[in-house]
Amino acid sequence: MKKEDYLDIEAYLQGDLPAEQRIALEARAETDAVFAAALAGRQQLYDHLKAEAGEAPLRATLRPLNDKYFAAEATATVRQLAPHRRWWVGMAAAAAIALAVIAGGQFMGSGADYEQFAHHEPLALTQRSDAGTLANRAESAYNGGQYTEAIGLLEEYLLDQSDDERARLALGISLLEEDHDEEAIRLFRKIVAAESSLSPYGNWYLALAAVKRGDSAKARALLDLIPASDAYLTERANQLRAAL
Amino acid sequence: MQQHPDHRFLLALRENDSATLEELYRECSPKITQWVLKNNGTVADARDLFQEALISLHRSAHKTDFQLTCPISALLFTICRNQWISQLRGKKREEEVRKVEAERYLPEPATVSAYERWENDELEKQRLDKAMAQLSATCQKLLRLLARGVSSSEAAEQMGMPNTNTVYRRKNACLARWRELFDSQR
Repeated sequence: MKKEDYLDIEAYLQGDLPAEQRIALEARAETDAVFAAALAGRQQLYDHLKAEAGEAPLRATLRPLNDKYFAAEATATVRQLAPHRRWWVGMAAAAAIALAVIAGGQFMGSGADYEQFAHHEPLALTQRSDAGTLANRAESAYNGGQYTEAIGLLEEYLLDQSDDERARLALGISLLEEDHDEEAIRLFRKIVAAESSLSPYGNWYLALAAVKRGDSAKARALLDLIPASDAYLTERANQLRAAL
Repeated sequence: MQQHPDHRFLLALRENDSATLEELYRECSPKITQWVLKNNGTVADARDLFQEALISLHRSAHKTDFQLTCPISALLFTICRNQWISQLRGKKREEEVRKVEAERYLPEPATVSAYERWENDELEKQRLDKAMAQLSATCQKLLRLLARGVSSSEAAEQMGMPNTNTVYRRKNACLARWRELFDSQR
């Protein structure tokens, strides 16, 4: 196989080959086993890439269908968070204390609550002068707690900036907030696997997702993966561990 | 084996056709939900299982030679059921696993064979992902840009490459490397 053969195969798979050359290439694949194997090998990679490119738009299509056809429990368990989490958490905590007093303490000792620990750091993808850009809109939606909007914008942003781990983390958090837990977990795992500076955050959010799903043992195991060198996360992990 | 009429749902996944996909949800989601609820899961668990099953079938749907040869509802149910058993195992809920497995469930041979094909596709996908992750950031970005339908000239501009010939050459080198990494996992 010559280098030119592979370039022809690429042009063929991209649909860039003129009709005459396309027919000639297909005819060659019928008679030349080595060429046919090379074509099949490249086709496999090409199919994989096409599927990967189509996944985010498909997820966006499925989301409203999920909400429509799996709605019964979602309505009961959805935990939409207000944009300004800190005061919201304060109010929720006060309400919880009041409820515990009224109920004679029967709700005490129920373990860590996802809401209590899900304090997300603001996202900064842009410079001040970037107002109106996709990155800026994604950032504003996320920082404003408009997670449904942020999901769409961050997915679009990541199509072009697939190596931006901060945006990927923000997308995972937004999905977790909107109760798309499986998708969020998939992204956090990807962040951990990338072994970037954000990997400890991947484990932190995997632990929070486990807390959200009531799996304390898993949460503890994930918290143990946070390196002591990250003092900020270690402190949060210790607080969460103590509450579990 | 002959293509099943439900193959159209696979095309709908590939083409992101929301109207046909809604038909699929209407047809299949109640059975999955009912089964998951009966087996210690929640509606949210059913939703996640169903969605991930569709996403994985979407990958199969992109394979040139993939043909659906059984009813899609049977295949989706088998995928969701087995994934749920695996999740229960992961959570060490063995007693629940035994209960699920004790229940009589014998899929048709066509469904068994479609499921096995799906399993193989999943393994292949994991290996392709693993090999791709070992490529340079430039390679990964270039391949993903082109897969999204960005033209070679636009890709050249975005990647800071002098011309489309460079794009073709780089793409070819990246694919060759990816293939090499993928084959070395065997």
